[in-house]
Amino acid sequence: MLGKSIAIGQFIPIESPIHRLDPRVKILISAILIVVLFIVKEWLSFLFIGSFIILLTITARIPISYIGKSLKPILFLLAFTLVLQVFFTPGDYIWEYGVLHVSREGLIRGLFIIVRLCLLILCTALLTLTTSPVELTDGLESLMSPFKKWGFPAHELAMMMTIAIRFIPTLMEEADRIIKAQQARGADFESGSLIQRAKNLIPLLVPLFINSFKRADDLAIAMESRCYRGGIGRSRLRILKLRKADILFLSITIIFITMVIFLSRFIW
Amino acid sequence: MFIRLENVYYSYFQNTPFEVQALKNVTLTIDRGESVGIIGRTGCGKSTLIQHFNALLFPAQGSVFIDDEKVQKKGSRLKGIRSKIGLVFQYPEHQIFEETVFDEVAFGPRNNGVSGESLEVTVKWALESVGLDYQELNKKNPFELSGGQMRRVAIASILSMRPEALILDEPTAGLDPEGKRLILGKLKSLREENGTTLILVSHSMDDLAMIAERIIVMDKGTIGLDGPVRQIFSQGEVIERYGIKPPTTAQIAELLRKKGFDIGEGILTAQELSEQIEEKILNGGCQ
Amino acid sequence: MIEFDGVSFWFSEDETLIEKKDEVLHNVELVIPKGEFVVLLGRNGSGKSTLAKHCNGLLLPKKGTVNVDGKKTNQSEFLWDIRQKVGLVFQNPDNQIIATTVEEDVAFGPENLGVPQDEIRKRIDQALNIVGMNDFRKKEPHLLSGGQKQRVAIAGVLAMQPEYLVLDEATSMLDPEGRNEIMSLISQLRGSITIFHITHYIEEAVDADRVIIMDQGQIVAQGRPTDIFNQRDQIYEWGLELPLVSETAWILRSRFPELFPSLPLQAEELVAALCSFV
Repeated sequence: MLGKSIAIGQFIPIESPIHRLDPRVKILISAILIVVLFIVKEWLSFLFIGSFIILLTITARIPISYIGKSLKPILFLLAFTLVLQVFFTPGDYIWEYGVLHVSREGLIRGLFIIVRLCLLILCTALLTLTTSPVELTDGLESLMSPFKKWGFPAHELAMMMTIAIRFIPTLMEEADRIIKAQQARGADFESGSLIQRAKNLIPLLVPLFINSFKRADDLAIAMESRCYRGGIGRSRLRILKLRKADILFLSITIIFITMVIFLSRFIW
Repeated sequence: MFIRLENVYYSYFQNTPFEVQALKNVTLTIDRGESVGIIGRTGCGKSTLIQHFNALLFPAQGSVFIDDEKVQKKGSRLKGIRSKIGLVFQYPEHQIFEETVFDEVAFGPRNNGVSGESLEVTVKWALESVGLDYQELNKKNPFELSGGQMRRVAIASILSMRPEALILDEPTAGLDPEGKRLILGKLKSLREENGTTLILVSHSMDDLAMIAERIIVMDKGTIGLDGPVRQIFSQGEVIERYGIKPPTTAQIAELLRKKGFDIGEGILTAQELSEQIEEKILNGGCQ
Repeated sequence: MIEFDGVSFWFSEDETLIEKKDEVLHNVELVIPKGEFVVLLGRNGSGKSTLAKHCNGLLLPKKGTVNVDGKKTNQSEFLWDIRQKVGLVFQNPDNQIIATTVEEDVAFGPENLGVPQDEIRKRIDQALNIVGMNDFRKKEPHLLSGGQKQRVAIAGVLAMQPEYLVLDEATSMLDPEGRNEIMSLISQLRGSITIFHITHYIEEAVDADRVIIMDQGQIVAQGRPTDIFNQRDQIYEWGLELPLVSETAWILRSRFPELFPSLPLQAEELVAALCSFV
């Protein structure tokens, strides 16, 4: 029952210029933005990049609520990072309480890292919200293909990704079933020390792993039966073709990012 | 009254855009010693219903009572309920995780604090109740057994908690006719020898005919029909409306009646059917 | 045709058979003629699935040969041809679908064969139409019922344009509704493709051209459904059971020997025979 609520990935199938973009372009744009977020060190740069991402989000017609939702899972990580930076960075102390000190540097650094994390998440969320799993794996496979010359298993990796994504809801449902079945035998997944709870996971993890191995076996047999022999000689249902809009978006992004890096390095 | 549900409602993913109502205003009572069959098309709420019997799920509205005590969401009583009312899920062999048959069957009672000699006794009894040889199998790796044997080990692992009621969700799914006869036979013996209350969920009326004394037909989260097996078996047309294939005996009897054979209602087995037909041949016949 | 010529098989690393009881298939002689609808019945453990996997060379015989239209499965140069010709559908509906949408999964087979892009699309359309899953093209597999998943699996095989369709216990994990869907599909397909249906549900053999029964790795009976069903006591020994209609008829025949010269398979036949008898 659990799996039924989960669409594969977070893809929202609506019409927008961003949705229509070639997945390779979207992957490249995301990659570029992520790299830049790690290079720049100024708040002003963040402002520019953040605005760019928000502009893309609006163009993609993604409801703001979805953005909020993608940040929810990492709220704990954000709080933890902030605490770590705030309490353990040396500098001018602006607040003290016994052993704990808060420094000005720590506060600023902490906030900086949090904003960077948020922007990173927004960037990847934008990618997965506007690109279906099929497009994502097609795009990745296409981008990785040039490296096949040097033995890089682009096709195999893309196939593994497809299968993994396909089975996420199925495995979640299975985990749910196993948990319930073990609870019916008195298993307790909720109480006890951390070590106790780790041990208590065995009745869940062992069957899940064993069933997954069986699945993998069955799948391999089914794939072979349908004449799968790796990537050689395969044709494709979908062939990706770049359009003017794709080149345009990519160019705009590259120009914009170059500008930001330039400003960051030499002006700010 | 053993298990009682009063005006129970349940939805999955409540208060989200994905909310699905699984049970609507369900009221029913099951007494000790009964043998109940629950049937309905996929999605009618059967699995959701049985998970309320052993407090794996709790109603969104309404109440569940076990032995006249209301079931509370949190608390120490849950473990006791789940030992008293055993639930065997579909394809139970998928929950096996221990390295020996003994440990697998002992998991349940161990969680209840049973150990030592009484543990051994109970594991032995559980394995024998499903027709497996303790001496032969108890040290074996359950994953080396045949599918049918693994299933019986899984059922034994619930029986070892000595439940007073045993709920089984499609216990014969995927089994061949011989395996099916074996499991249903063992369940019948269990009830005859220990008075265990049996609740079986199934897709097949023909299978339930072998073991159930009462049939509950579910439809879209509510109870459509509830009555003694022979009474339900006479209601072929009504059953069809619930998307279930009526029992084959009923179908044949209906066809015979249309041709003028005055066959009675509520026939369960081929044996009974042939006896009735034999009687009609000797005494009358076709028009 | 698919021909099993003295096929024996056991699971082991080398060629030697350690113990007689480890033999999973023993001296199987079997012919599945083109165009027929053949049903193989047997209890769990009788060797049915192992036999199914020999049909397309997933398993190779330790003794004897399996020929598909004259080509032997153990000749590696023919293996992929054979796998295109003999399509296999397996028992677990989930563990055959690898792609994230129905359409993508049906495309998998033709893609593996290197079929050109526009032709792939045509084949997907055709296959999905035949199995009645056209409206589900973009659906994600985990949202489908068991019967729907199996129909997608069959479509995935049909898209490769095979000549033989082997269903290896494809109905065993389905609910009655799902089983009906598959049996209807088989009725629809028979004649246009050779169907080899392996099952333990004897009701599914009622319309077959030929029924074959296996027990302990050997073929123990072959013939038309009515002839096979007449061997009622042995059917039980082989771990199977008669459909209720035939069982009722069999019991009645022991009282009235002239009744049912051939054992009825369907309720209507039973009733008609009774009426004419009385």
